[in-house]
Parts: sequence; structure tokens; C-alpha cells
Amino acid sequence: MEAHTTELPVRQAPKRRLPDLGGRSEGAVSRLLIAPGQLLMLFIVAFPAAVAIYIGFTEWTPTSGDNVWGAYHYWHWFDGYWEALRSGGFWHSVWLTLLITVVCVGVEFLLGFLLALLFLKEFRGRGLLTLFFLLPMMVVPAVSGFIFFMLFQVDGPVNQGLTAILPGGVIHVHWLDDPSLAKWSVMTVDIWQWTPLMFLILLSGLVALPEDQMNQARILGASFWHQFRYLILPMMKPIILIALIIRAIETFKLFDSAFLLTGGGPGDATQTISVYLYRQVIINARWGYASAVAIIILIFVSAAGAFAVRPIEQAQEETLEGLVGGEEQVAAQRVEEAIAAEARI
Amino acid sequence: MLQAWPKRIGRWLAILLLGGCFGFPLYWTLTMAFKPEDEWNPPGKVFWWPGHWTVSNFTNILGIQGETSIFATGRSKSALTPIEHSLIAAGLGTLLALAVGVFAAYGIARFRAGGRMLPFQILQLRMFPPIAIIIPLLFMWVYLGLWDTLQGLIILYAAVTFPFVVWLMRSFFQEVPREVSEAAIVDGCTQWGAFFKAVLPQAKGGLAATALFVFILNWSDFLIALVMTQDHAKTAPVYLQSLQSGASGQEYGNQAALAMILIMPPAIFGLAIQRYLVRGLTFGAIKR
Amino acid sequence: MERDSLDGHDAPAEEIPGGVEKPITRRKFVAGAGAAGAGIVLGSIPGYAGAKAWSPGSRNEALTANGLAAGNIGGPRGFKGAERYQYPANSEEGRAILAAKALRKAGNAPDTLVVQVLNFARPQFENKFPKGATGSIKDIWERETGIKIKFIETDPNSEYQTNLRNASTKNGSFDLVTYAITDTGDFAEAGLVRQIDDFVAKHKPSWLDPKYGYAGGRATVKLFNQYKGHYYTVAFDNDTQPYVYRWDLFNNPKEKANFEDKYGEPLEFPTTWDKQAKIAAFFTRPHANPPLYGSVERKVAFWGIVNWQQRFVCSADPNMFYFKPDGSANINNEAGIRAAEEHVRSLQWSEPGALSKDWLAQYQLFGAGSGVMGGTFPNVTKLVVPANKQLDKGYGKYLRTDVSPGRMVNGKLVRRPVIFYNICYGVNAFAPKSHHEAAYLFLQWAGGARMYTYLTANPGGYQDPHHSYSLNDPLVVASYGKEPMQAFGEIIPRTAPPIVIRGAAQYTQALDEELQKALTKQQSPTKAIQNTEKRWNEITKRLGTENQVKAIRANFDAWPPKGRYGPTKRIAQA
Repeated sequence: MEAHTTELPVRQAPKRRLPDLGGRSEGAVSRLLIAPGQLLMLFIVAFPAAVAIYIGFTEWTPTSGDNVWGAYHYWHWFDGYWEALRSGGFWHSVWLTLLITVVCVGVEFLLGFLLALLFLKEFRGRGLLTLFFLLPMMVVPAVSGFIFFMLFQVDGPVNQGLTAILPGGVIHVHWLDDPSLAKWSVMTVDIWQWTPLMFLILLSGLVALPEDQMNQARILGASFWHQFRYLILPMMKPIILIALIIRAIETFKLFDSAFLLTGGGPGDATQTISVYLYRQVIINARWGYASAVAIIILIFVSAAGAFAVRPIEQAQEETLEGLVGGEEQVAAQRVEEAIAAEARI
Repeated sequence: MLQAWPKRIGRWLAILLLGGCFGFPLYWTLTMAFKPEDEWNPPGKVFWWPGHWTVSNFTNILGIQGETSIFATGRSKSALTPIEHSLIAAGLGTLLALAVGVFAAYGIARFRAGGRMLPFQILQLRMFPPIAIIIPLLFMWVYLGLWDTLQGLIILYAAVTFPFVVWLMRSFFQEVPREVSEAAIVDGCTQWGAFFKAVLPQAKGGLAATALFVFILNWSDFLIALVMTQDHAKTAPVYLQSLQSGASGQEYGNQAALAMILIMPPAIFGLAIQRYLVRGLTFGAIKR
Repeated sequence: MERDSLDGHDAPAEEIPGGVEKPITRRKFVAGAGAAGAGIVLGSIPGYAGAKAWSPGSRNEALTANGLAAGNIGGPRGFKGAERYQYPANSEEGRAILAAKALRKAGNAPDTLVVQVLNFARPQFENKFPKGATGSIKDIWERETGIKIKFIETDPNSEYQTNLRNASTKNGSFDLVTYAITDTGDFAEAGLVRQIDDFVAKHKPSWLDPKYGYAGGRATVKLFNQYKGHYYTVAFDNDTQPYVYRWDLFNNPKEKANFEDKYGEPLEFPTTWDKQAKIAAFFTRPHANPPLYGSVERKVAFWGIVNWQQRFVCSADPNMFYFKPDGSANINNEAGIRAAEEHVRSLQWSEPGALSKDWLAQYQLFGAGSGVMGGTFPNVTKLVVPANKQLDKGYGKYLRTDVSPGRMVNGKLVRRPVIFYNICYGVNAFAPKSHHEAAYLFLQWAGGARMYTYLTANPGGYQDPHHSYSLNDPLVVASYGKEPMQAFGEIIPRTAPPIVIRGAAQYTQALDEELQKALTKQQSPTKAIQNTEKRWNEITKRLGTENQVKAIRANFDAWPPKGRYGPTKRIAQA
């Protein structure tokens, strides 16, 4: 064992052995710990996934008169998958959803970071104001959808407000039924609703930054910008990544605001993946086809997710194990970099 | 660090601007909840402030008083039962998710239980578009007799939110030094004892924050309740949908009143655990 | 080729209007009574009005002469004119009641019928009306048959998916399910709704009767109650879209003079869509006070699609059908494209933001005087009245009703209003078999000319009349207005269906999406129609062309027959 004096949580590398401290063996305990979780996953995931795969190979619909076990009467192998991959509607939804995800997550991140930086230093009323900024997150998405539906009406408050503020005649922006504007309206709702989450996560990260390093750098003359670039950002990297990934996964499934605001948009202007699936399931009753589409989406998101999660896992291991026996050096190095950058100016 | 005056004013201006943007929809909902029906959406006009304050929207949806709507039709049931169902389903679902997830998170954080890929597999649960998974689940639930029951909802809510619990609590547990549990074991506790008496209290704040997020997710759920309930376990968001129908159009005031009511449980919860919120959402990445 | 069990037996054996006595031969009597039981027999002998109608169930002690006019065995009581809605034994309602009682006695009926109902229809069943009535419709049924009714509400937003889900899980918790007329095909094919030919043959509703039947005759019955030639549904609504307009503007001498100067023809309610366009353009004055919009029928998704349909179906004599007999789409032609172009063009005569506004906003427009004319729902004149300050700002009294404009086809004027939504009820095939007949009997009873007239007169809900018997009924007229009811008399026989075959939701959604794109200038109307045709043919193929063709061909009979032209003159006289 290293003669280390810090109190860092030392990640148990697999090859280390715990001294025999009695009690049950580790293996049994660990298996027991995850058993309920695995059971739940099996129950909720395995069976439905199996059924989804099964009907994904069919063109089964509940209006056929057959129940789900009779779906094999409509077996058509990969036709459903093929149709989806060739379908303009499907790809349109995919690109639209990607656009929305990138823009929403990006803006939420920037705004959230801005807010977090503003709230970093203690000031009067910070506690209550923090709670205030968290409120949008606590509004049921079904409700926020209709709130913005009200606000974005052509003769609604947003347009009336703009008319009052801006010069010129009456402003009649068609937030909801202009096909190119509609998706931005949908994005606005998502940004309003979830920036608070980013704010909270990033603020937690900022607050937890090692005070002494920050002070060191400041005393030695590094500007705020250089502190930011060389100290804050690197140390926050894992948090930032996790926040981005979590939000990206959720935004990709965006449904409530797109549906309530525009019902999928004029035509299909706000037809996100979830709205596309909704239309297939509820209106077209094509439950077989919808399953095939959903499986395509799952594969796609899993691949993207695996790709994105790896750096996090690595970053976490780096941060932890790299800090073992070297934290101070790394920290000092960062401070030096910041000062050097400052000196170059 | 002393803030120079311009910086302070700058910060306050920024906060005000952002607060205004984020707060305006809330303000609008709040005032709408107190507007009478002819001020909801009159053609061409906007009431920035209720012309006539009224609580009729609240009494309408809570069924306290007779219908004051011009349509004299619509719901004969109040929102009270759906709200009750929401509280039970979301509350118990959250507890179940926490119970299952906290143990799993500890297992993963401490013992790497389940292997390297388990955390990612758990996250995969949330990657599947809900509307597609809901159909096979529907058949399963009907077969098991769990359809349109609160128990069925609770299990589902726990299942879909427990990935969050695992991911969040894993990082909180990673922050707790190994020595803590080792010391407890040296003192004579079993592994379980160490967990409950030594490690868990350290992650108290994280647990509170996680509980809040999971509760918000369950409280807001619409799709699962829509498909999985009919009238015995109907929840508030599904009820909300009936306030906007082919018969009555958009009942803005009633919807706003319900929205105000529905904001309260998560907000109260958040207020109660306020001091834990901005503490430890670091995912184990930043060490002091 | 279709089976129509009422074919050739247009009226059941002698409908006896309340109070009028008619001799019954012994044979007809036995056939008509439908149930054994000396007491029932006694009660239906004319002249025996004062007799206590004995029935095995002790709950029927109320069936005495008290409150019931002579010869009647049941119906509403307690208010003036109630005898109009009471029924003798030999009537569709009477037969239903007696049959239900007999079933109950034999143990073939449940204690309670569970009825799925739309939230805005429910009050018409449960509210007492008018003042003095001793019971609501639900009360009357429960009292006379001893079978309780339990209503479970659903709302229009989720009704389709609820039923779809229940169909897929064979949910038998409802005895009666409710849906829109467009969904009949889907739910019939899904097996949710039970075919009721046998019950119709056995209990003989009066749907085709000249006096007690549906106002449009055979076509209306087929439209409302049949799918693929068999009975599946009992319609409890009439959402045929009338056309409403501001009488005062059309009669204003200055406006008339200006219009005639500009267009060289008199200002009259438009009988054709071409004329409608001119008048709409003429009257669109956004800067007037109040702002005027010449054509405020809805364009928004879902609510607006019926307006394309109205412009389309009148393009041929007798009808322009949506599908050809071989199953392919019939819209990519001059009629379809012209309808799309007109639909898109008329958006400019609607209010700003019309693409996000539903029917309630339209009612507000009418009430505020901004709506000059437009296709709308039948209850607009019921709701936009001085008593409703929220909707009516003083202009409700000027609204008049007429048939939708149409087209001249080979010298004949073809006008075809189209139905939208239209509440229906069906017997749930998955409910316990012993419940089916009783459930059907409730529908025959509540949907009979007398009871249904009484139901629609109730201002508590949105189920609208479609029987001839209702058109002049005092209570109904008091609720809807004399002139609108007159208009309905002209509208119902000319009513064309929306798409009602299996897959209706998909076909309609495809058309709606493409038209929305055209309305928002993402594509031309022609392209919209071409895309729709492609999508429709794909849908047909996927659902099985052969099966669809059967439904399509059976559906042709549900349209107005040849010869239903005009009217060429405006209906409202004052």
C-alpha cells in the first residue's frame, strides 16, 4: 500500500486484495446488492424487448383482429426495417431530432454554465434564487407544453410583448405554424425546462472545486479567463460529459413539447422520433413497424452512447487513479500552466 | 475577493434578465390560474394581469363547486383523486427505485459488481423510446393483472427511473473514502452494517438530491400512465389532458390552476432538501 | 349483395303513436310483444291504458297511468309535453324495454351495464331535463328495466387509443364502447365491436320508418350504423357541418349595393364554392371594427380536414367518392386538386394564426362578429347566444344556418355537407356474452326516435339530433333554434360521409399532413394531393386491398342517392 496521507477514496483495482475483515465474502455481497436491480431489468426489459423484436418482424396491427400471439400471420422478415431505412419520414425525424438535441443540449449547457458562474460566489438571497431557477424543471412537461402553446399564439403574449417593445407595426410571428420556426419554438420549451438541471449539476461541480488551487492561481496573478481555461474546465470535464450525455439521451426522446405545441408541426415540421413513433402507434396502429423503428433507434443510440460513455469512464478512472500519489503534482502543474499563460500576455 | 461595483451590477443584471426569461412563463401560468373564462384567450387581446381575480378555476378542477363553465359539461370528477394517485405512484415508485438502485449502486461502486458493462447496460434502459416499449409492457401488464392498478404503476416507475439512481448514487458512493467502511468493519460491523451505518450517512446529501430528481421524473410521467391506466389508477398528467378536448377547447385557466397545484409537491420537496442540492453532484470526479 | 335486415320491412309492425288506439291482430300482437308475461300482454292492449303493467321485477311499479299518457308503457314524465317522448309497447323503445325486462327475468341480462361515454356526452344521460322531469334518461331506464347503468368517462383526445388498446388486449370491462364514426371500420375489424344484425332483426328498431326513422332515410342509416353492409353501430350524434353566416351583413343594403357594383351579381348566401370565394374576399376587412374575416371555417390540423372534404365530395353527381371501386384513391384529379387549391386559398380570409386555432376560437369569432361565414358544428347556434357572455359579444343573434355550398355539375346543383367526428356506440364483443343483448337494447331504446329526441333536447351535452321526429320537436327547437332545425332538415339528407372504412385514421392523417404542408407553403396543393394519393394507395395495399374494396363498395350506399340536389334558395327567411 502506498504511504499516502490524503483522504482520497482509493478506487479498488481488481488486483488488490482486501484484508480479511470478516463478514460475508465480497462476491456474495456484491451479487446480492445488484440482484434486485438485475431482476427488475430482466422483468421490465428482457420480456418486452423480446416481444418488440418478435413483432418487429411482422406487419401486425391490433385492428387486424388477431392478438399479439397471432402476429406471425403477418410475418415479413426485415421489410419493416427496410421500409424505415428508406422512409423519408423516418430520416426526416432522425435529422430533426439530432438537430434539436444538439442545439438544446448546447444552449442548455451554455446558459447553465453562465448561471452557475453567476451563482458561484456567495451573495444575499442566493439560496432562494437558486430554488427559483430550479422551478421550471419541476413543471410537468405536459403542462409546460401547453403554457408555451398559449404564449406562442399569434395574438398571444409573446407577440404582443414584442409589438410593444420593438418599433414598427404589429408583430405577428407565427411561432407555431410557420414550418421553419416551429422547431425553434419546440426547442425553446426544452431549453426553458431543462437549463435548471444543467445549472444545478454545473454549480455543484464548481462549488466542489478545490478552493486552495483556485486561490493559489488567483494570488499568483492568473486572470479569470485563464483560471477558467486551465483549472476549471479540465477538472470539470467528467461532470460536463455526464451532464451532456444524460441530457442528450433524454432530449433525443423529446415528445411532450413537440406534441403539445404543434402536434408534430405543420405537416411534419416538428416530428421528432418520438412523435413519428407516436403517429405510427396511435394513428396508424402499425405496432409491428413501430417496433422495428424503435429497435433501429435503440441500436443507434446505444452505439452513440457507448462511444460517448467511454471517455467518461476513462476520465473518471484518470481523475481518481491519476490523483493517487500524484494529485498535488497535477494540481501544481495546472496552476503553473495558468500562470505561464498569464505571463505570456 | 472583493467584487468591483461594475461586476456586481453586471451580475445582477444578468440574473435579472435570465430570471425574467425563465420566470415569465411561470408568471403567466400563475396569473392565468386566477383569470375568469373570458380572459383566457379572447381573440386579439391579451390580459397581462387578471381583470377579475377569481378562484373558479381551482374550484372547477377540484370539484368543490358546481361547474361554472359555460359548457356545463365536461369532467364530473375532480382532480383530487388523480392527484392522490400521482402522489402515491410517484412517491412509492421513487422509494422502490431508491431501494433497488442504492444497493446496486453501492455494489457497482464498491465491488464493481456485475462487471464493467453493467452501468452502461443500465443506462441503455433509458435509451429506448418509451412509446415503443410500452406496447409489449401493456400486454405483459394485462396478463399479470397489473394493468390499471397503482401497484403496476409503481413497479414501472421504479423500473424506468432506477438507472438514474444507479448512476447518481454510484458517484456519491465513490466519493466516500474506502477507509470509512474499512474502519467500520474493523470495529466489528458486517459488510451490511458498514454500508448502513458508515457509508450511507456520508452520502445523505446525494441521496436527497437523487430522490428529488427521481420523484420529479415519476411525477411528470405522462405516457406510461396514459397507456397503463384507465380509471382506477389515473394520474394527474393524464387528467390534465382531459382539460383540453374537442368539447371544451383549451381550458387554459383550469389547466393553469392544475399546473400550479402540480408544481407544489416537487417544489416543497426541493425546499426541504435545499441544503443538500448544491453540494455533491460531482459524480465523484472532483476531489478536494 | 349486402345483407340489410330491415330491407323490405321498412317499418316494424305498426308503430302506435302515444294515445292513438289501433286494433292489433292477435298474430301481430304476439309477434310484437316479444315476451311472455300476462301483465305485459295486458298493458299493450289498447284501451287498457289504466292497467298496472305487471312485470316480474318489482321495480316497475312506476309504470302506471300516472304521468304516462294513455297507451304508453314508459318514458319521461313530470313536465308539459312529456307524452311526446313516451312510447307504447309497440314501438322501438317499447320493444326494447319489454325485451330487456324479459331478459332480466330469464337471467340473461346483467345487473349493471358498463357504458363507456365521452365526458361531454354524459350529462345528457344523467341530468334531469326539463324542469319537473321526474328522472334523467338513466333513471328512466333503470326504473323500467331494473338494469343499472354505470358510466365510465373517456375524453375525445384519448378515446381512439383507449379503444385501440382495449381491442388489442381483448378488454371486456365495458359493455358498450363509444367512438367516432370514422373509427367504426377499425374497431369492427379489430373485433372490438360486435356485429348486431341479429339483434336488429329480432328487435326491429325504426330507423327506416318514414315517421320515426333517420331524416335522410336509408343512406343515413347505412352511413351511421353499418360497415361493410352489416350493422355494427348505433349513432348517437349528428355532426354534419352546417354553414353559418352573418345575416345582417348579407342583408345590409350598402353591402349589397357595393357587392353588386363590384361583381355584377347580387349578394346572396353562396350556393357554390366559387361564389363563396368572392363573398369571402369581399368581406375580409382586418382593419374594420370589429375585424371581419370572410371565411372562418377551420384550417388547423384535425379540425380543418372536413373543409377540404366538403369542397371535394360535391364535385360529381351524385357524389365524388374518395375511393374508386377497385380500391385506389380517387383524389388525384381535377376535383381533388381544385379542392386543395381552394382550401389553401381560403386561408387568407381567416383570422391571423388560424392554423393554430380550433373550433372554440371559431365560436368566439362568430360571437365577436368577426366571423362572416364558415362551416362549423351544429351546436354553434346553441352556444353562441346572448346568455353566454363568454362566447357571444352581441353578434350571436345574427347567425343563420344553411347547407354548405356546392358545385354545379352538368347543370344540377350538388351540395354535400360532410360529417365530422359523430359519436357512436357499439356492443363490446369482448364483454360477457350474456350482456350483449341487454347492451344493444339500451342503444335501441335510448336511440329511438322519441327517447333520442328527448336526449338531444337536453342542453347538457353535445349529442345532436338526426331523426325526422326531432326536427320539429318543441324542446329541440327551443334548444337549437327554429331556423337551424329547418336547415338540418335540408342538411341531413344531403350528408356525405368522411372516410369511414378501416384505416380511416391513417388515410385522414396522411391527407391532413400533406394539406398542412400546402397551407404553410412547404409544397403546392397539387403536390399535396399527389403525395396523398401515393400514401393512400400504400395504406390500402398494406391493409389488404381485397378487404378494403369490400368496405369501399359497401360504403357507396351510405352516400346521398342520385336526385338530391339544391337547395337553390337560402333557407333563412328572417
